[in-house]
Amino acid sequence: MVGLSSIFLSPSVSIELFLEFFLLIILSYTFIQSIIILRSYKKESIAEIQSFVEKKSYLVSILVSVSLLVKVVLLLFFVYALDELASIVPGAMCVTGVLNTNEYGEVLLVLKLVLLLFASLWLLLHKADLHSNKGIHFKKKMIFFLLLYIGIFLEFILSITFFSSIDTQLPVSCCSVKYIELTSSLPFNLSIQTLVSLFYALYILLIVSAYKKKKIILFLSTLIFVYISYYVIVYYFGGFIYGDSSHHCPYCMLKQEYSYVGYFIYISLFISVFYSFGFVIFDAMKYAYKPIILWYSFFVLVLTSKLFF
Amino acid sequence: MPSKEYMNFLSVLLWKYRAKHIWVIVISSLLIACISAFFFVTSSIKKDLFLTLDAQADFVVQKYRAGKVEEIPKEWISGFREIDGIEKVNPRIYGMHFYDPSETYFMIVGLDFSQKDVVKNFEQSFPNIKINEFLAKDNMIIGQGVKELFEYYQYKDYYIFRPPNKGKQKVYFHSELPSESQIYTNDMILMDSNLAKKILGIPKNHYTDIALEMKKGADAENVKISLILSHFDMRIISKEEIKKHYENLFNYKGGVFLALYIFTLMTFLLILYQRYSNIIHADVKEIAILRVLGWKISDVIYLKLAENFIVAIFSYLLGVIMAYMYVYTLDAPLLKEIFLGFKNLNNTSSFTPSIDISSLISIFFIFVVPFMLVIILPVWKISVREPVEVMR
Amino acid sequence: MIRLQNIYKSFKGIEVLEDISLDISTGECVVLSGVSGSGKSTLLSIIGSFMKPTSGDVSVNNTDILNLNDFRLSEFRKDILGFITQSFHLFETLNVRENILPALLLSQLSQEEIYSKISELTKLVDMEHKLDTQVALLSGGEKQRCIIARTLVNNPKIILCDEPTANLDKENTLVFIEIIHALKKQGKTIVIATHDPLIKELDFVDKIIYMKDGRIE
Repeated sequence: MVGLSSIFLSPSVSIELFLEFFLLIILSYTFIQSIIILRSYKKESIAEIQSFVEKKSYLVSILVSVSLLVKVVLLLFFVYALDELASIVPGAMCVTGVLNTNEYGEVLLVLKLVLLLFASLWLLLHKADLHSNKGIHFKKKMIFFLLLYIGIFLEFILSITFFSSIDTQLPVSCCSVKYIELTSSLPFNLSIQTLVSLFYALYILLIVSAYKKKKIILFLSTLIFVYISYYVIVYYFGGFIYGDSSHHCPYCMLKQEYSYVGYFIYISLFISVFYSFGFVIFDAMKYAYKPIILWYSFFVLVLTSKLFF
Repeated sequence: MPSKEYMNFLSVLLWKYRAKHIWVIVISSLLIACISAFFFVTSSIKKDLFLTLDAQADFVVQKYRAGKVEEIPKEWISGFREIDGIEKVNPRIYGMHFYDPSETYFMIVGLDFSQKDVVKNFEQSFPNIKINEFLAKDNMIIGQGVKELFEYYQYKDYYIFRPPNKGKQKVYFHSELPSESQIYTNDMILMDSNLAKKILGIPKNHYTDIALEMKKGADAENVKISLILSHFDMRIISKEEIKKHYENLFNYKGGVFLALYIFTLMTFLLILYQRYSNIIHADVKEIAILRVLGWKISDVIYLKLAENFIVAIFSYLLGVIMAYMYVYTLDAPLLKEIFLGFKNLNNTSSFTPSIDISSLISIFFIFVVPFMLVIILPVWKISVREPVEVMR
Repeated sequence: MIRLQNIYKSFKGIEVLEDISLDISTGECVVLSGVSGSGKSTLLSIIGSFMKPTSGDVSVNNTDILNLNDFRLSEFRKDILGFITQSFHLFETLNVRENILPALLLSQLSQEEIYSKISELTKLVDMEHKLDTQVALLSGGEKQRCIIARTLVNNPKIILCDEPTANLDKENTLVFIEIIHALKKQGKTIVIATHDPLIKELDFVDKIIYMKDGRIE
């Protein structure tokens, strides 16, 4: 019980959970309104009903837009909260240790990242819907939101479960233990040098496919690129960032002592992936090849610069 | 990005209808000031405390018997020196002396001037004091709180301690501990270790505890295990555990404070929601005029949200500034005692300005986000009203 | 062109408009005449899209305005429609310039263009010298001219006036008539709901429609 209170009373955790809960209440109200709207939408197009639907949809759209924008920032807050908890969880030196205190940690992080991507895509769809002025994406948008809500609800339950399962008495492995085995954990049993070459090659492929507007190639190469990026960040570039080739950790680079370079790396990667997906899925984003090139280049530049500085 | 003209119009609206927003700004900024003050105080104390802790030994070892701490025998020192990973072994003399008239405790710390490190640190900390002169007679260096107390009880040149094994020990005031360190030296008295032993009743060849420093690169867990195996009647306190203890303490106090804040915030937001939901005629007219001019519902909503967002930002900045002045200029009366405790000597230390970006961001999120979300519904209600009101 | 077909409107079971059908050609100046309660203001609101009829069709330039979404409706109100009322719906605590500004904020004009436009229109209605005067301090006639300036900012094709001279003295009424005449000459379609005899007797009025108890006589 003492351990539980030290987790839930930690300011960053309590703020994070309070905001998640608050957003969930808002989104729950919006969920109910969305169902009402979708049911009304099926009826005959009588001016009064359409007007009601249109007005309600404004409310739903704004509540969802604001809530999702806040969720984007809350992810950073979540990471910050975990970093703070590292000082009270024995053995945890950074986010890695806290995430590994139980089986829910990494699942929660992955869920948050996936929801974040979908939330960003929803915001894009919403923008396209507003521009169309004919509501052609309206129904799609509402249904997409309903699915997103279910994910957000599950995320909250998982958050509570994760935080309440953190044991502040039991020591955990920190990143130096978890990420210590290099060769056996690399994909396709490739050497790190080969992976790094593949990383740069995929980067070129991404830029070219974006420029040439080859959507399928872009989509597939994005998926592989993200997968490879994780490994090269942890097992190659991480060593240069930490000044220690044995230090493999995706999270320590988010700390102040490394100039928060992790945020630049991960945020630029996220934005790049977001634009790639948006470019592939939405016609309205046909000019997104420019930010795609920009953000992927920024991401690669930040990592490459660490080889020299 | 709104145009300059849009922003001008917005600021004109805000200024001309300021009466509508003033009560929100006042209450919001007070709420923000409270929570910001909490963040500033904890940030400042933690910073000072952890800086001090960082300079502390990696492990402190105490002898334990029947649940009580006993003095450590000198013989243990050589055993610790042989443990792999230990670089320095520093036996320490210190203890609490109870001063009856004011029912307060002094922390007496003995300095062993036979140790080079002690001499070096002393010379660095007190460059104006000659050690030979200090040791020439029974002298002590006292903290600010101790000094104020002795002045109050009319002790001018010396104080007579009464050691536990009877007798008296007169000790002269030599100088004071620097005020910058007051947060942790307020109730401290420094003196020669032999003198301290006499006053505290610590037997010869014994010490209060032993501080151990690890070699660079040594594994703390391994060292700890070696220590545990060396003696079974021993308690080991690691620096990390102390840090964790303080983190928990701050978290506990902070968490309670934050919970109270959240409760108050929710009450305020409920009132705000009720207030904004009561649509007043002036608001209806304003919206109707804009709708007649061709403003879309979304344009009106964004204008109203922008208005309220500026109110929220302004309240936030005002609140943070008020908190800054309260903590770093006025030294946070009342709040200070909650965190530093009323128990012992009156601590007149000042808070070192320490503002951390993550705290500012936390404060921003914990106020502005719920605020904006709560007003969306009333703003929407008013924005979708038909401009037929214009005709009435 | 404005076309109304079989318009009915009721409020809480009371029929306010019954079977109104009306065509107003482009460039026409039409007066809706009738006593208070005859339904002329309601009809004007329906033409202006501020109110929906219980049944019937309203089209402007072959566009059914009853089924427009908010985006298209707002564009209609901004670009096609101008509205002048008797109650001078102005922001009383703001000055003349600040009252006209919202009409231009959503356009893509630059700051210089916005101010130039405001200056031009206030000059037209002889209000340029009052740009920084708070609206609450203006006379009835000046408020009316301020409204007109604001209405003309986006060069509307249709101007609807609801009892525009109800709160004006004779002198200001004549000024208003002059302005309306000038707008008629520019080819704008004007619909005025009024019981002011001065307006009904104007020679540039193309049609007078008499209304009683919600019907056209």
